[in-house]
Amino acid sequence: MSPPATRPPAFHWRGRGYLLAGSGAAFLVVAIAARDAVMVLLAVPLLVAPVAAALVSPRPMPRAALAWQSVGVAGEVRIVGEVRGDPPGSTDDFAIAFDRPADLSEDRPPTIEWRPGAVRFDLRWRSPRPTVQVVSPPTIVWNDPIGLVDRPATGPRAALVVERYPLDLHRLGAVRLERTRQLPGKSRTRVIGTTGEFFGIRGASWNEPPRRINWRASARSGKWLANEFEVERTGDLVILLDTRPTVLGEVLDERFLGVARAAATGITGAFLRQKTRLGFASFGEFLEAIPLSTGRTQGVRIRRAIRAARRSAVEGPSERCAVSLRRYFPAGVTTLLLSSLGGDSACDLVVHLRHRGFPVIVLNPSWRSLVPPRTTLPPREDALSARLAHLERQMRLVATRAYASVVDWEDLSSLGDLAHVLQRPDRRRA
Amino acid sequence: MAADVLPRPIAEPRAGLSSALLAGAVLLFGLTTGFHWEVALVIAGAGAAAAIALRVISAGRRSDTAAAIVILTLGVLALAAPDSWLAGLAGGVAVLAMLTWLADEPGRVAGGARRALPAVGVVGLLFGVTWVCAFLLPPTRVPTGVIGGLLVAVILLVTSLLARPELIESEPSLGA
Repeated sequence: MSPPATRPPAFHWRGRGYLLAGSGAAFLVVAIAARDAVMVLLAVPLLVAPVAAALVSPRPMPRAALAWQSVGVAGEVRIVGEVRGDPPGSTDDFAIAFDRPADLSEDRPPTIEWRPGAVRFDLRWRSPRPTVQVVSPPTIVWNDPIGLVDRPATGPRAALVVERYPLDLHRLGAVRLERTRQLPGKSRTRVIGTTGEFFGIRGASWNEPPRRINWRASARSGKWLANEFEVERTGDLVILLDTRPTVLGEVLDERFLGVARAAATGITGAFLRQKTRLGFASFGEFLEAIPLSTGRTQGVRIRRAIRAARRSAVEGPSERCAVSLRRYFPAGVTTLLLSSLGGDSACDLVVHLRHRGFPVIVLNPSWRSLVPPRTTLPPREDALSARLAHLERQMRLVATRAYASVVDWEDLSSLGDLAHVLQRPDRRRA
Repeated sequence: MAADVLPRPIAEPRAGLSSALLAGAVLLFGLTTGFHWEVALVIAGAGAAAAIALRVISAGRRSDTAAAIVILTLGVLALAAPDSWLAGLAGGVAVLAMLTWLADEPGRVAGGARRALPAVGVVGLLFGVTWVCAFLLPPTRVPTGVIGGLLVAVILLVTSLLARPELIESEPSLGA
């Protein structure tokens, strides 16, 4: 279980405060031993200084209002913002620390501009691969001028979402998911209209038959729109994100999550544009799920859940995931599992999902694509370690392929391999 | 996660008025001790110069080590200090000068010594009271055990305050 949240202290002493107080105590002991009045007079200010610094610190606690945004193009992640302090003079003694996500690297040293009552900052980071990362608000503390006491600054501070060219399935085309919708005749057609077949209106493809075009709707909207019928709908999709800790380590797990969030965002957009019913779930220690639905609101829900997905501290058992998933989604729904396959139980998860009736497609990013080139190892050893990692991953892929379709995702800038598998059911395993 | 701490606005090393104040106070304290004046000047000068140089060269990143050097220098000088009002006054002023010098840190917004004035003032006030009690009041015969007990009580009080900040401050904090 995650540890319960504890209230942070109103202030805490810094190392320099302990140094002064400890020195004062030592002087006092020597003064007693040597009966030296001068030593006592040295000890008194050293002992009193930390307490005095705490007593004269600003009350109420200093407030810091943060306004920041992410700018930049392509792989450049530039975060600019401003911290405004209340009282304004307190900003002179603010110390600001950012937690940089592991998926982002520092491009250039940060710059900062101290103005009366405000601090402006400019962070230059870089994302070498597609990612969706949530940057936590910075830690802002007030340091007393002597450097003896820290006080955390209060105030509203929202997290920042950094999206760098999230993947999109623009060429998804006709996707045949596992059929979970009933065919006409198997259900009472009155609930969906007089014809019992019409499903909705969608964007027309370039080779759409003229009879399929909805001419009135096309004339109103100014773009080609086509009718879609219930019989053409096949099934629904669940995106399952495996956020459990793996043997790859925290840094690689965070990078995988960044790429997986980007992929999940793109897949969500593509399938919701097709009006497919879509669900989302993330599994760390427990399952967090968004039930099947469609529409823009569902898109907002799922994107919010994708951003909230974090690497869990505890690895939940695979069977718990499958059992919990069955509570939210009917059996037979195509499940797209985003997993690094780094954990020993990743393959077990696929097996349990199959046993619970979920056909699984595993989207597995290449480990090598997540690791930056290492300069500490000689080229020969680097090549050897890469080869061993490749073999280990291939073994896991082979073991997983016995139970599910596996997309070996080498080129992280494209979801073409996934689209290829989705469009051709014969490439999938039953 | 990797922590990126924003740099302070003034990154260039500087040795300003507060450094001169520290050096002068430590040298004055050295001259009031029982050491030969040349030895006292060497000890005080070497300690102050080493601390100032270390802080300037490291642009404030080694300020704690520099403060430890100053405290060590004061301790060595105090070992030979006579039990006189002048030596006591010079020693206390040296510690106050060190606090002012610590407040005027490179890499922080200029004017730290001015902003630290309330804290240094409280410390100076308490030091003044102690100094007056020690040297200007008529001497009385107080048992050493009582003095020792009082001093130990002060140490315990400060230690408990350092260990439990909520005894000073119980205000709800961030996220409460």
